Amino acid sequence: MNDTLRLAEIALPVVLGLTLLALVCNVVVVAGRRPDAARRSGSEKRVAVGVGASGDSRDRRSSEASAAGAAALAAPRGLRLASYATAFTLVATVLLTVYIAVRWAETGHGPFSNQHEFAVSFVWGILVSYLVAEWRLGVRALAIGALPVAAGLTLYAMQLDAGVQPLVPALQNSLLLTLHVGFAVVAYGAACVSFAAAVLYLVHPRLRLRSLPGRQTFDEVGYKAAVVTFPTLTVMIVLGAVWADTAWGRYWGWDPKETAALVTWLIYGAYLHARVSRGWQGKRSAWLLILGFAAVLFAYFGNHFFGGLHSYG
Amino acid sequence: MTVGDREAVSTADDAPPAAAAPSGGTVSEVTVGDLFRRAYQLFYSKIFGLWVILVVTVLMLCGVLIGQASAGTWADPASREGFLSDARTRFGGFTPVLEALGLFRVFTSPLFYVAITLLALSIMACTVHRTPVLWRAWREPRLHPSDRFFDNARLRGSVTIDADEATTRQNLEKTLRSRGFRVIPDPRDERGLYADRFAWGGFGTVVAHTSFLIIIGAFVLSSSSGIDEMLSVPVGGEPVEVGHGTGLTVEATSFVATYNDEGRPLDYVSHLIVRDEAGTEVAQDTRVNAPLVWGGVRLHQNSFGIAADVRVQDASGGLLYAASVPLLWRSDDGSTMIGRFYLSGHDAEVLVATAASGAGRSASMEAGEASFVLYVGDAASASDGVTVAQGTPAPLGDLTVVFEREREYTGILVRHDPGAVWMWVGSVLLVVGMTITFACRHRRVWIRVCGSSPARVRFASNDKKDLVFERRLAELLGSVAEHPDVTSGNQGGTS
Repeated sequence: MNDTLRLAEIALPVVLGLTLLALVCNVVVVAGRRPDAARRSGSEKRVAVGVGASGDSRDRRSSEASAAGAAALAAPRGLRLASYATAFTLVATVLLTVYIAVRWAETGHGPFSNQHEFAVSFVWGILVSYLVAEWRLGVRALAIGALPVAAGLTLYAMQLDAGVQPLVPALQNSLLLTLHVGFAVVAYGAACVSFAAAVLYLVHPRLRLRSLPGRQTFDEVGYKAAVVTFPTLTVMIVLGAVWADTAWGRYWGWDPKETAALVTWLIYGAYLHARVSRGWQGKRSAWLLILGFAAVLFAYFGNHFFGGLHSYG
Repeated sequence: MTVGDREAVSTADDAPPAAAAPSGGTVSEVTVGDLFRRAYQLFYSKIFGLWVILVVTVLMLCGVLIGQASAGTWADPASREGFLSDARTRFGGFTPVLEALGLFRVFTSPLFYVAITLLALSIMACTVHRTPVLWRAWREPRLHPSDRFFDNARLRGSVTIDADEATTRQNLEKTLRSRGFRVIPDPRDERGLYADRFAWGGFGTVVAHTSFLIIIGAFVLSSSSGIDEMLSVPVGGEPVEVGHGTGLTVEATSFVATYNDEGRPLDYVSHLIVRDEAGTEVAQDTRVNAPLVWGGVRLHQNSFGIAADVRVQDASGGLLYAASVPLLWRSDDGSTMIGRFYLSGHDAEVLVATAASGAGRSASMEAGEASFVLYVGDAASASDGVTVAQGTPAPLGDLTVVFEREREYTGILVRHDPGAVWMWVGSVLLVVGMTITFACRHRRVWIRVCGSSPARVRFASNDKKDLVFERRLAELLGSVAEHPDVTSGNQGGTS
């Protein structure tokens, strides 16, 4: 491994530290008092878009708040801490992006060819998915579920051999390597956000965090993240089939890793069907999301014990 | 129970006495139509569909967790017994149960085929059942909700606007249309409006479900037709016929395997020449990710190894066999490499073995020698065996065998898959269908404008909770409230 890569590796402990700092800040923000006063004193006009029987008062408040604008969400102190939390996450994501870019430049291919590189990419997917969810849906509490997973995977990546090895012949397809694993990274990241939402939904009654959004919100965020996970998993599997057809002569061979990916896809498919057509919400769908993410981890860590055509190291 | 079911019950209750079952016993006549209807109801049941998905998932999980035997291993009794012996060490007394359930070959087991068939039927029935519902939601939406709907809907709210009723309604229509909503006035209440976006979005599910059927069909087509054969092509040897009516031959003029200093493979490349019957030829360096394609036939770099050039003659000196036999298997002690070939005219199988490279002196043969063992018919024991020096003819039963030399072979997988194109069609449709389903979700809102100056706008939707939709709706109505009359610029208030 050359000096550039060795230098770039310093990014990983920094990312770990920033992720943990962001987690702590987010916990403090979510545990703190909801800044109702600031919202009330605002001169903005509000449109009450209430959720009906299925929602609770905290859901109503969050809907009102979203209509009133994000600026009214936090009191100055909470706002400052929340900004720090977002900034820490953002900087961690940028550092990971730089680390991935450096490896890409040094190796000449997408850094997805071994367990270390995929672990780092997985963390990147989680952080980006979390940031998008925070930005689009304004649910900061997701950090409590998503960032520990990101931190754990960063720690795991740091334990793995980060050495650069040339690609084995089967992986020498830069375009498909990048696209196939790139979609996996996005899908897995979104799956982690849906997992975080599902966990928060389930533990919601036991949490005494004053700024925690309504339980229903986590149900919906879990669904929204799964709606990203499922199509991206689909594209990932299809691209894998295209690649397998080119490299191995058949688009599907029931290889353990590809079958595990299909099992994951089926679980998310079952979740979406159960929710959309059977109205499964709440606990049952939350457990399905947790099962889905367990399948994601199973498929990811399976490289260690599956064998088969995907065991590249 | 559906509305249709309730109507059926009601009709039965109202039926004249003559249609009732005779007293003292129940006689029910089940027609083919009834059976079909019941089967249809079962297959379009979402619960049934979910159970089938669960069963397929569990079977696939078994395929991942339980080591699967290849078709070749399962077909060969000795290999199969070896596989089962290994399985016994892992699964103990459960091995016969797993074997009986077909879980060692789960993806070709009857259980799996049944589950996939049920899944296909379920998808088909759901699609057929759902299409008219989606059509009605698009073309004939329900335009008039009850007053209570505005009090109880899952998503509801109100805005007070300082403008008269007609202006507010007009302004709402204009704003909604400008944001991509279809707006239809309530025909039963002039105060009401119905607005929706992506009314056709539900058809994404029809596309996605249909695509899944195409994918299943592609699997069936791929597994039941086409070409899937491994050719061992001797490097620098005679061309090998591709067969299967293609009229093609393939010749390998070179094979190079490259490794780095640590022994990690870097490249496998065979220079192949493919010729058709007309003598047209195409040549290409064939790599793992760069197959040679001729028409619909593809030749993939798959493996490589050592082959033994063998010649077999019958008692009269007639040539029975002359080819390179790939030495595909290594003996348990690692000392020899073994290959086999068939003499179909003699109902005989011949095993040929040479000393493995780097194995040192074999117990049974020297380097440059080959051993031949002859099996005739289904006999379990060999009928003859001989070890010969390179180039020396030797008797084997009533045959004469010659071991000419060792040479490299390159393993070329020949594929022609008529199902592949359907797989790609299904895959594209699946992604398109999903994109439509999730990116273009049908969103509906019912609006009622009450009173003038201020006008109270009540809105409601029974769609599932959606933070983004709520926010957009709030912004939209807020915008109307901010500018109740675009021409006059009057300001309004919201609550």
